[in-house]
This record gives sequence, structure tokens and C-alpha cells, in this order.
Amino acid sequence: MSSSLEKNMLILRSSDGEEFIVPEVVAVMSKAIKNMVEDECASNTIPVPNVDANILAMVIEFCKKHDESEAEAASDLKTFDSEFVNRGQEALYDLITAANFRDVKELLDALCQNVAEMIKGKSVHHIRIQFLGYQLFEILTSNFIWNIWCDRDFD
Amino acid sequence: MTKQSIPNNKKKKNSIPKELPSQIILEILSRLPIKTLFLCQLVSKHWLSLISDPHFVNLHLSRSPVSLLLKPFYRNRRSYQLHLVDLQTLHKIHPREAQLKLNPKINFPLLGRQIVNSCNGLLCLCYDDSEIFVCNPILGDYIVLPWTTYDGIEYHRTVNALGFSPKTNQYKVIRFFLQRVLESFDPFTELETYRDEAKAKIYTIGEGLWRNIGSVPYYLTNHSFNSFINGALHWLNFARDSPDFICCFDFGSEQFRVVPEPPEFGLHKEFHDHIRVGVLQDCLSICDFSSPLRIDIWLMKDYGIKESWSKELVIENGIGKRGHLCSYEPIIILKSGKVLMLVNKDAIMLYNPKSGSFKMLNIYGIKSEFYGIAYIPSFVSLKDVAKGERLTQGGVILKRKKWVNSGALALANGMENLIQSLKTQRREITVNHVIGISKVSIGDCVAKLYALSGIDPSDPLIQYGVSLMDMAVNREMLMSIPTDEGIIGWLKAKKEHGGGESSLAALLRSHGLCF
Repeated sequence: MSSSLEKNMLILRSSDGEEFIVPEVVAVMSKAIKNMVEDECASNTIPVPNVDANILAMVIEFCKKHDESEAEAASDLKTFDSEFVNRGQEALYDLITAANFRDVKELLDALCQNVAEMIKGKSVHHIRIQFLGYQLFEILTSNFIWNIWCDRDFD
Repeated sequence: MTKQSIPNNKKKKNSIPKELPSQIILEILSRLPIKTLFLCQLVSKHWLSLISDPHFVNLHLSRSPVSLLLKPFYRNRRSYQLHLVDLQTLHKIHPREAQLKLNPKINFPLLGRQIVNSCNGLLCLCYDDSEIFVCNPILGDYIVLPWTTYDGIEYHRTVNALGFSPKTNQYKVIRFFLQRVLESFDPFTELETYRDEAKAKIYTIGEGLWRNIGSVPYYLTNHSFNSFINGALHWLNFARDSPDFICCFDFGSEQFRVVPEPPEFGLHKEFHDHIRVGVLQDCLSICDFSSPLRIDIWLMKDYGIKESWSKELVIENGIGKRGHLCSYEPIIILKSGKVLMLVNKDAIMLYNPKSGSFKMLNIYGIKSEFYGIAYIPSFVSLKDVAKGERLTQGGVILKRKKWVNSGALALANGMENLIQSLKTQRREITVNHVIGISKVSIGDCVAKLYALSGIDPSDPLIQYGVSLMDMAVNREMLMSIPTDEGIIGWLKAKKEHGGGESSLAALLRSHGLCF
């Protein structure tokens, strides 16, 4: 398998076993993978645990685009970024975790910027629902009211 | 059943199901404007602690865009308010939403009426040349610098400036003392020539004393809009017989330096008020509006290298109306390439290089002239910076708003109110502790009642005692009587007199009880 590959190609294996053949230049945009390649502790197949095939495909798509378009206009890349990160919350969360875990700085930047845009103009209540889940919010409010209640002097 | 199912549905649809790591939350929060961050402080205790974390403060500072801090000139009861205007969104949204009002006493000291300059979110204010304040209006804490003079002599004029030394992570204030000295006197024509002599003192926040620098080669005359870059404050030197044009004071090494000017620039030096130095796109910039119908903007791409000066923008249209009487200071170049300019320090214009046109931007609630400076909002806390100085935290009094603005501002105000009320609440509680009304729980008291020896738990006196325990005074009384007989006596007395409040001890004594 490895002999049939060109030298500068790497195989990434997702957590559910799917394999992706990626040029090394693209793969090393992830600092974690770069370190593994530099330390030569990886054979041609690099396991990427915690990231499933779906998300890994997205990350690779992003890295490829960024690698190709280094010479291209920056504004072009920006529109790609903003379209790329415009996804549902579930996918966004998985992407952020993957980008953080694999240390892909550009992707993490774009994603965080997107989440920041989502927060802008929202109320506290909405931010809580989005980031902490509704139930935790309820606990917080009840705690908060309880604290005020307890601190009162009952006479 | 229904109660539970609603939040569950909501959760599935909208929420990110798992908790993000703190590092990611920091990354996200550091990209938010200051107003949204006020709201985020309210989201949870975890987020509140993240936002006051020094790591977050630095991260946020590195990303925080420059804003405009302005002070209106009109005179009414609100005339001491400062307005913080978010320049990134000013041209996109309603001007009311893009600004935050800062109030004296709450955000900055009441006496600090003159704005000197700002650095990393800290604001230097002064009062009649005598008192200097350094404050962070976002957090509302401030310090007063000790009063100082140079050798006890009256000086003609003083100029102050706040700066930051990145290497040592210290904030410093430099104070120039200017003295007019007679240089020559011609007895025939009675012509007198003067020159300014300057001396300086420097104060490092956290050290607590002013240090003499002595005579200085250049002195600051007037502040540019925003000229702090590379740890140095820049200004233009118009002194006669001096070849140096762009000067700077490095707050790290505490040295004065000269920065090379653009190569073909020598001609314009005589136009005092028509050249400005500033910072644009992280480069030192010069805006030259000395020719009546043209504005040149230069950028020094590599700091300190003369050859890297390049003419970034030439504006030739649309300035005819107000002509050469105006001073133009470019504030920021937006992502779209448009340039925001502060005109005469009292109006904001948006210049579009593609169409070559100017557009006046409205600032909500300010009809009069104003004075504006660059300000980078940050959470840099003087608590961490100041050590020797006495820190004063923002006032607690907050007026109730008669009318509420819409949207984020209302929430931000609400948050302020909430935090203030919490602060006052906590204060009341501590006062209670000092006076001595300690909290005794009902459970403890009831347990003590039932454990009394010499009386049966089914006795009606015990039932009566339990019914008394809803009042804190009774609970405390119960706990402070040391013997069981004493308690029973007290209960009897209480029952007989129907719970009379007056002088219980005297009452007990009259029943022959001693304890």
C-alpha cells in the first residue's frame, strides 16, 4: 500500500476507519501532524482519533483550499472561509474540537470568528442556551435567586 | 411532564451539546466587542472568571480594534459623559448601537475632566494641570498620581503623556515642564526672542515616585490622535533650528529618538498645523494636508527604515468645501478600504477611495462639537498594575434609568445595574456581620429546644418555643442563654407576657433567674 503512494502523500485514518490520501503539504497545516511527521514517528498512515470521516473531510477541504490559494487574493479566501464555517451547530462544534485537537490554526481562527459573530447582538439568555444548554441555565438562575433569598434578613 | 419536555426540545435544536474547552471559549470571547463582553460576563461564573483572567486580558488587547473616545463640548448635566464609539460598525448599524456611554464617578474620576491620552485601554486624565489620574473606564477603577513639581519652580506649561513599556510590562507617565527662556534681547528694536526649555519627570505606575530625567532634547507639544507604536509615543517637532522632524519617546528605555521622515518630505515642515503623525494598519503614518486641495497619507511599512515610507493614499476630491482650514487625521482603514477620518477633532468622515467621496457620519446623541482621541477598550486592570498607589474602584451609585434603550445597550445597562446592586448587597451583608446579628438556623434552635433537660418534649412550652423560632432575635436569644433552666425560664416569661419585646433580661431577673 505505502509503496504505491507517492513520497509526499500521507494517509489519514479517521476514527471510524475511513482513509484519506492527502498531500503532505496539506496535512502539515495541522501542527500536531506536522510534529508527528518531523519526528518520523508516523508511518504513511496517520491515525486521527476523535475525528470522524465526515469532519475530517471538511478539515481536509479547508486545508486544501488554503494551500492552493496562498497566492490568490486574500479577499477570495475570506469569502471561502465565511462560507465554509457557515454550518449547523453540531458540525461547528465538531469542527472546533477537531481543529483544536489537530492544531489547525487557520481553521480555528475562522471558526472562532464565526462563533463570535453568532454571539454578537444576542441576549444573555440566548448565549446561555447556546453555550451552556438550557438546563444549566435553569440551575444558575435558581441558584442566583436562592442566594439573594438566603442573604436577606427575614425580620 | 410538559415542563421538562420544552427545555429538552430547545436543547436539541439550538445548543452546542458538549462543553467547549476554556481555551476555545477564550479564543471566541477575545474576538467580541466590549459591549457583547459585558453581556458575556453575565452568562456564567465560569465565563466571568475567564473574562477577568490576565491571559484573556492580553489576548483581548491584542485583537481589540481601535475605537474613538470622545468628549462633547456642550454644557448640560451630561456634559461630563464620555462616549466610546465602535468604529468597526459605525457605518453599518444605527449610531446608537455603536456607542457606549461612560459616566463620571462610575467609569472615571469626576475631577478628571481633561483627557490626556490613552494606552492599552488605560486612560490618562488630568485636572487643571495639577492632578493626574490613570483609569480604566471599562472597569471603573482609577489611581491618582502624587503631585509633583520640578525643583519647586513654577513652570510656564506642563504636558503629560501615558505610555507602556512592553518589555517590563510597566505603565509610565511622563511629564514635561516647559519654561520660556529669554534668548536674546536687542536694545535698539526691543525685540525679544524666546525659546522653550524643557525638563521632564517620569513616573512608573507601581513604583510610587517621580524620577527626574533632566533636560530633554525634544518636548511634546500636542498629542496626535493615536501615535503609540513600538513602545514609543511619536510626535512632530516643529522647533526652529532643529533638523529632526519625527521624534519619539521610548517608554521602555526612557530615551528620546528620531524616526526618519519620508525621503522627499523636506518642503512641508513650515506648515505647523497641517501635518499629523499617527498609526494606521500597525504602521507609523503621516497625514499631510498642507496643500489646500490634497491630502497625502504616508505609511512606514518597516518601522525605522526610511526607504519603507510609501504614499498609501492621495485624496484630491471632496475636500474643497472646508478647504485648508481643516485638519484631517486618518483614524482607521477599514477592511473594505474605506478610510475613517477625524476632521478638526469634531466630526467623523468616511472616505471611499473607489468613488472618491466623503460621507459625514452621525454620532448619536452628540450635536455639539467634540474632542476625540483613539482608545483601545481593554480589561487591563489597574489592580494588577498598581501596587504602591491607592486604587479607587468605580462608584456604586447608579441612577435608575427613566427610559430604556433598545437591544444590547439596555442589557448592558441592566447588567451594570445588577452588578452594582450585587456589590451593595454584599456590602450590607458584611455590615451585618460586624454589628453581630449572626445567622442561626431554625434547625439548630429547634434541636436545642427538644434536647432541653428537665422538660418533656411534649410540653406545650416547647411547642410555643418552636413557634417563636421564626424570628432571628428569638433564635439568637435562645442560643445565647447558656443553661437549660435559663431557657425554660425565658420561654415561660415570654409566654406570660405574650412575647413582649422590651428588656427581656430585666424580665428574667424579676423572676429570680440568674444566668
